[in-house]
Amino acid sequence: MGWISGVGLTSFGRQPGPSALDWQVRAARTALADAGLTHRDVDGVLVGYATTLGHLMPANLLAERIGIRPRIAFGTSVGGATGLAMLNQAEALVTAGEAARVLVVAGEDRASGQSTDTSMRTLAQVGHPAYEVPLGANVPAYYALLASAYLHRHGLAPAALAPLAVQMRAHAAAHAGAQFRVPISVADVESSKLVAAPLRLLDCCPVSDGGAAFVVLAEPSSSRDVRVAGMGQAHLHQHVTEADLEDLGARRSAQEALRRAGVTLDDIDLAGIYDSFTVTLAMLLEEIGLAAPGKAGAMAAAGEFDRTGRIPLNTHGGLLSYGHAGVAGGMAHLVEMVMQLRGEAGERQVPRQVRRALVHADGGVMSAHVTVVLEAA
Amino acid sequence: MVTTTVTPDRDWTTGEPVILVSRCRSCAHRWYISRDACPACGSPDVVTVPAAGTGQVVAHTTVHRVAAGAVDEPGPVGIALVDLDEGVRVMGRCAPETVVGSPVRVVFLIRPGESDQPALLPFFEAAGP
Repeated sequence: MGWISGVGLTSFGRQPGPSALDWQVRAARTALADAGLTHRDVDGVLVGYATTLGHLMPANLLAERIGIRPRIAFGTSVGGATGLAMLNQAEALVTAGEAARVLVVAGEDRASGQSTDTSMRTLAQVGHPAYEVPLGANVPAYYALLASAYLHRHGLAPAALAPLAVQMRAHAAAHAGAQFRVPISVADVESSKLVAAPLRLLDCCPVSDGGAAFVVLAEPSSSRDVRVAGMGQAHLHQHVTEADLEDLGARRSAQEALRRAGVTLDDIDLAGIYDSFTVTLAMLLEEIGLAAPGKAGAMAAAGEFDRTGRIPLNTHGGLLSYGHAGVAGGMAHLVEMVMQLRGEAGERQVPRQVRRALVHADGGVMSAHVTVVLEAA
Repeated sequence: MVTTTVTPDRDWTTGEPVILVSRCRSCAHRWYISRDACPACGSPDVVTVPAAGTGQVVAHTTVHRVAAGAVDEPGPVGIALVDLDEGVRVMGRCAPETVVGSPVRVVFLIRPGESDQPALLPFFEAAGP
């Protein structure tokens, strides 16, 4: 068991100037200050990969820059699940007594530090270099294939997914750090340009610059700290051709996290679910069990995922509207859920008592899954 | 006892107009992406055979902005997931009007490759009712 003590999240967007390391430093300093710690208190540093940096030793690089001399330092790469995977490792380190205060960081200039073609080529490599990439497939295409199968299986039109994008944008409107804050409608989603049918531009998250960080402790240091009640993971495939669409890993991962936390889905008050595309969000919500099969879009349309709804979801706006700065993008959901559980989310605060949040991230093409159940102190 | 099996080792990714399917002779598991041992049971007793090239569409998309790394023109291109009759799922090109659930068969497109060798791409065309 570990405790998330400090959190840091920068604004996301196209924000040219800072390097990947600069974004990491900003987020790290915010998280340390939030935890009431200095860099000298840190004895473990975990840093997620940055596509614009490509460094072999990102944790050592950041530690030297800030002046940390940790007992343990390593970089991590599990795609979009990297942030939560690092939380799992940080929690294991503090539980085992290998470290007492672990700083987990990610950040990059993914939007400004490289061309869109370079970004797309790098990300497409989650596909197979011989059997998939030469066909012209890219990340939107892999998820569009999932969307095609999903819509066919449930007899739905592409517009069925649009309410999820609309809800994310409505939430982002209340966050000053979000990349996109102007409200959108289902009609806006349906009239945005096709990226990879059936997915349109507003079904897809943007590419962003930004950073996120958090500090994990073995014991709580104040009543603001949030408990890591349980975590789970599942890694069943890498390539979409090898995925079992009925068993991607999200259910297994979430069930393990819930079991370890000693709770069920009925005990979850709000959720932060990875939303690289609208279909990602729908499939994860449904496989985890937070939405009935084929109903995630309809639930969004009915307001069930709104801040005031039955299961408030991605109240910062998610990857779809807060933005996606690589590993930091998946950590933003965690930071937001910590803020909510502390009651510090300001105008975004869920207007009822919230005690437990479930956060889930996937990497690759629904390839890597990590879930955490968080509990207010 | 592990027996050594002579297997074809070239498919469309190395210039032969064929899709290969692997089968484990120990546990009968089948797969597409080439491996020298069974990912289910670990046995190295693997037979690799050419697929008939017929199957059913599971999913399809039309990519409007093709990633660098594709072997040919910048799109738009149709891409499908197809369950072959041999029981493995493969990715290939397809026509934009492809219908999920419909029967298809593979043909191979020839595109200019990086060196002198032309590149092949599997293309799934409608196979009738």
